[in-house]
Amino acid sequence: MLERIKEFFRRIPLLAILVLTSCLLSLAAFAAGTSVYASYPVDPVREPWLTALMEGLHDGVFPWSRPDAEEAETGTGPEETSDPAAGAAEEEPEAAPAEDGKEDEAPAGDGEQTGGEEETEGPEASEEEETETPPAEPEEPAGDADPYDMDPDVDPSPTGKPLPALPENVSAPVVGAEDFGNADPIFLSPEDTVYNSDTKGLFGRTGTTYSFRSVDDSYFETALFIGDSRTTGFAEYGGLRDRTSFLSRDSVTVYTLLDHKLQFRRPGSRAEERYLEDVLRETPYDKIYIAIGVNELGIPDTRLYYEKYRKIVTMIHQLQPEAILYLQGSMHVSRKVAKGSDTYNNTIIVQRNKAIATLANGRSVFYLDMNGAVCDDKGNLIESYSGDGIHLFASKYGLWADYLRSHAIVRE
Amino acid sequence: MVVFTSLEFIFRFLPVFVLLYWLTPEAYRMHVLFVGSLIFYASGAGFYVLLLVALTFFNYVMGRWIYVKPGRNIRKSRQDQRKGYLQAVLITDLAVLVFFKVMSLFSESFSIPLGLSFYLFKMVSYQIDLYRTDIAVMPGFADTAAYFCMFPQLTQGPIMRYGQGGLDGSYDRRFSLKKLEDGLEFFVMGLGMKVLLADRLAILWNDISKIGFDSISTPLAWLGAYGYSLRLYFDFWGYSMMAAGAAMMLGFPRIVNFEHPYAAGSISDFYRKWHMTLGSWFRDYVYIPLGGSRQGALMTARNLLIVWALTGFWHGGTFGFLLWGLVLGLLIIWEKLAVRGILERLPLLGHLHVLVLIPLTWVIFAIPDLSGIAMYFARLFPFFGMGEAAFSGDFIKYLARYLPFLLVSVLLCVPGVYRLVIRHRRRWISLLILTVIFWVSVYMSANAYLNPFMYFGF
Repeated sequence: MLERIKEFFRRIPLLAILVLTSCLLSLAAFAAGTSVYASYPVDPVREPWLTALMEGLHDGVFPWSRPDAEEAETGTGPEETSDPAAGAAEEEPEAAPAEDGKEDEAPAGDGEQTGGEEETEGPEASEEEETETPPAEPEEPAGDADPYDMDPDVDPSPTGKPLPALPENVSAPVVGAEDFGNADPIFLSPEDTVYNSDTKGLFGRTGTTYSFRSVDDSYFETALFIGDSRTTGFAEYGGLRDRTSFLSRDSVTVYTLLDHKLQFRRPGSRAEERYLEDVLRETPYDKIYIAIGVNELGIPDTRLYYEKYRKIVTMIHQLQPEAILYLQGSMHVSRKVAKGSDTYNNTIIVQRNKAIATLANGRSVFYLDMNGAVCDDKGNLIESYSGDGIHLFASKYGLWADYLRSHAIVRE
Repeated sequence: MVVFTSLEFIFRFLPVFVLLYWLTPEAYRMHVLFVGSLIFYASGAGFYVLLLVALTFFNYVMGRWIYVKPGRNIRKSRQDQRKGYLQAVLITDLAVLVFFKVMSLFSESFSIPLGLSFYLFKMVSYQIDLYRTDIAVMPGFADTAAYFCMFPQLTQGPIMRYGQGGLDGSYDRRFSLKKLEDGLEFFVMGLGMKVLLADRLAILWNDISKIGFDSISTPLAWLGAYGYSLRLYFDFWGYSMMAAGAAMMLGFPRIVNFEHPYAAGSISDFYRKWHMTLGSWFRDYVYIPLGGSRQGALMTARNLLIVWALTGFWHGGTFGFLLWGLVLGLLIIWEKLAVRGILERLPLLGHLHVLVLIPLTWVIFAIPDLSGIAMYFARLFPFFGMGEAAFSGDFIKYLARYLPFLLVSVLLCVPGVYRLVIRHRRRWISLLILTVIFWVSVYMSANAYLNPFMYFGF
């Protein structure tokens, strides 16, 4: 018998190895399937069981991983969204562990170091707001948790009231776009969602406001641009390479921005790989531009995106309380891409831009929307400006830079 | 399922089909292959499967009327009749091809049925081979239908001839473990070339298109041209090898579609080694019937231009492909009539000729519009003041990113390296490497399948 097996193996070694490894991997995937791979649904008629294992591997999930630990982990990757329902199911618990681990994201101790005593802002700031004095930054209560970090599971609108309007030219209007009606609703939130934008604290809307004006390139010398591949393109082709600093990485999302090293480029020094948090701790910047949001389009839904985005902005503010924060609305995609995709779709982009625009307060957080500079009158990215309908051609990044030059805040 | 690199094909369709196929009594295997292939085709092409079935029946019936036993004297009237049938079937087959090619030019929503160019060329070769009495025994329906539709060759070739496939009894197609193992080895090698090399290098071209041709530096333009050349090669060679491997697992002989074209000593030699089943199709059914190279320089030039214009049209029918075909036709004419002697005396020059000119022709192949082609050439040869390198560090950036893939690709272009791999493929170290290649490819496929943008992370 053994001889026959040996003989068989000798004659079809590769087939034997592949069948054997397939069986082992399938068994492993099957055994761990109900718990570890709960969020990787497999249709056994069309795919092997080990598909879940392979997809999990990509997200750092192994058969021996603890299922509870993995849910937080997998929630950060866009891959699970092949099955939107499953993606949604696991996004929910994702927010909770992150909530518990907020010390990692926004250590209270740091608020003390960088926040200083001069300007503080917080829930108590409401009194100052009434007196129209420049807003004060509250001192971080030592050892206490971040006051802005609200539980997304509570009522999204503490007041239920619409936000007070900002004065003209303080926040850029969100550029709309043609709706082809093909956006997958799983990625969207109900249109009447009131976003929890904490009207008293960092994102409060009263106090001295500033409006946009034009600046020259020296303005950007103390700025930091944070983003995905579009920001990489902007760094390389926007014409500000020798003036300003960039921190970007392809396919980064709000869910992964803090977990991965990003490429850090500064004028006159070699690019290096750094964590966002480390860079923010190291060097103070006057202006910080955030441009992110296209890789998240396939992750449900707008509210979760918004919550994560808000946390990141809060964290940046805590580490760099003096900086002007520019939240850049995601650039739209071309008509061809939007029409052909239920995910990479302007309807979703516009909804997400509207959500993050509610964070702008006209004091220290500003919303920018460069789509007017690169889109046609229906809000589609102009086809001749882009090779893939998602990224600008190198020669068009100047339009983005020009928009930023003419939409700058100067706080005297 | 219709894509060989999908997990559905690798883990579901292929193993299930191979098992069913070999469990079927020999007399019915071609029936199983025909029906299985139709299921395979329908999963990717939908209702176009009806067109395939209709063309299969039509070609089989016409073939029966054209067939005569070789070696017999054929009466004049019978010969005229056969000629009429041949003309009718060729006109029909080619009209279908031209109809879809032309329609797809005018309407974006109108796509060419999957694999049409490949299976119609098989049908045409089948009819001409019958007419020329190259097929000894009248093929039965199952053999014919299985030959036209066999799933390994249905979507991207190779354009196997009826006789080559051993369907006429010239090859022992009975089961053996060795065929299964050999087929699997080629399948895995092809899978690796496609997924681990071609699909990776494809991102380089994607990156360059994203930047815009007007803004790339000259070194990056050259890197792009070579990257694209290698990507196309491993994409097509890998896929052909997977097709050959799958067919071998069903007991068919190995069809070689590529034989180290980049090591060729001239451009005409390159195209004897690149997509060989297409090249030999044009040679046997167009070039030689037109007179080939036997009627003087002028006629040779004319015949070459016709063949290459048709080759361009076969690839797409757009002006860009036509231009690509004509440029190659002219290069080959120039080579044959003017520099042949020099290239033969100085083989190094011949290799350089291939290695510089072929990537340039692929640039024409890759870019759909004329202004894009012009801009790309202006960046390759930056003497015209068109465009500018917007970021001088681009070459280093992309070279660093793609260097490992480029190095492995270049290595595999060397015939000696490939032969070494084939010769030692049964050693345990090779088996280990093949196993790793298989599983890494599966890993990549599993994740690309879910998220087609994984390769193009923003």
